[in-house]
Amino acid sequence: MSTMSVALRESTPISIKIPVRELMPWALFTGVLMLFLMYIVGAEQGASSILGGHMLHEWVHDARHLLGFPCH
Amino acid sequence: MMRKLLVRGLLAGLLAGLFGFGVAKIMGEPQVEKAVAFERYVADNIHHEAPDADLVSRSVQSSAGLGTGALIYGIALGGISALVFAGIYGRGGMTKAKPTAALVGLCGFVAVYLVPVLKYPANPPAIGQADTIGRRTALFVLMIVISVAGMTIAAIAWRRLIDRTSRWNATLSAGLIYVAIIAIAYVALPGINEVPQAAIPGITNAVTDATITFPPTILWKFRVASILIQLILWTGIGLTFGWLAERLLEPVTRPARRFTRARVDDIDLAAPR
Repeated sequence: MSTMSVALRESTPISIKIPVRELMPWALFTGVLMLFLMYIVGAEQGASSILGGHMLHEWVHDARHLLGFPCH
Repeated sequence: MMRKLLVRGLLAGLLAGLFGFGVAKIMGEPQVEKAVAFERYVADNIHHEAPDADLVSRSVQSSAGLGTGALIYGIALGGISALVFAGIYGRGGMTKAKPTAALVGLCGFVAVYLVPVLKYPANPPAIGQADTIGRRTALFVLMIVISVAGMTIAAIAWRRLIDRTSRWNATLSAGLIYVAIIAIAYVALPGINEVPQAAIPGITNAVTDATITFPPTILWKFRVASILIQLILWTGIGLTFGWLAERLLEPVTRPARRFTRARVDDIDLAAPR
């Protein structure tokens, strides 16, 4: 009796898939946000500058070099 | 579900960022310090320039600054990994969270960092001229875009091929597609070398008009440190996120298995039926 219910539970296939229409809004919004964070660490106030000045560049200076980005 | 996955990706990224910071601090910073000292030496003894006032002191740059950069970058990579994971999990036979996340981490490391950086290597301070920063950054980002696009094309090709041929052949073909795209990009894009090099007659011209050469072993150790930092970041995300995602997506299997074992142990084989 109990062994049978176990067998049934184990044979139930697990097929969770994130539907594309659920994924897309997240991918667009969060994806852009994450890329912006990478830009802040990797290139802001270096090759291009939105904020102006050098404070942010100087602050993440060592990380920018060691993560492989051209720094200055 | 997507929100929960994303939170786990960001958490994995934060943890990986901490490890990345550790590696950067131990292996990377000594080389950065030497490179900064080289830069200072050149400014003092060759160009006779007065030093610029530091906006952020070296001690802050090498601790809090490095930590901020490593953590933000780790979190960003963790978030993107979660999105990519959500796109492929449950598709093309990717039914297990842990191997899927590990594969995302491995492919991410290769496509986003390793392949672009083998064309345009990481450089410490004192290397790179101020007036070429735009061109160098553009080429590096272009190389990343080509590499990620190549990996995506290879993945789509793999997905289509597994229905027609063996997984082995599909994987080989996808790998070949990626390698071909990268080979073309490597040849087509211009190389960059701004490592200060004194002229040696008959062997090499001066690079960046230098009368002094940047120490090669410092450069080598810096680049190895850079590779290890990124390897730790991606490995940390792949393994941590896989573990967290499995607990979220596949919770049934573990209690059920434990339950089964207990039941099997309960059966007394010697008992008469």
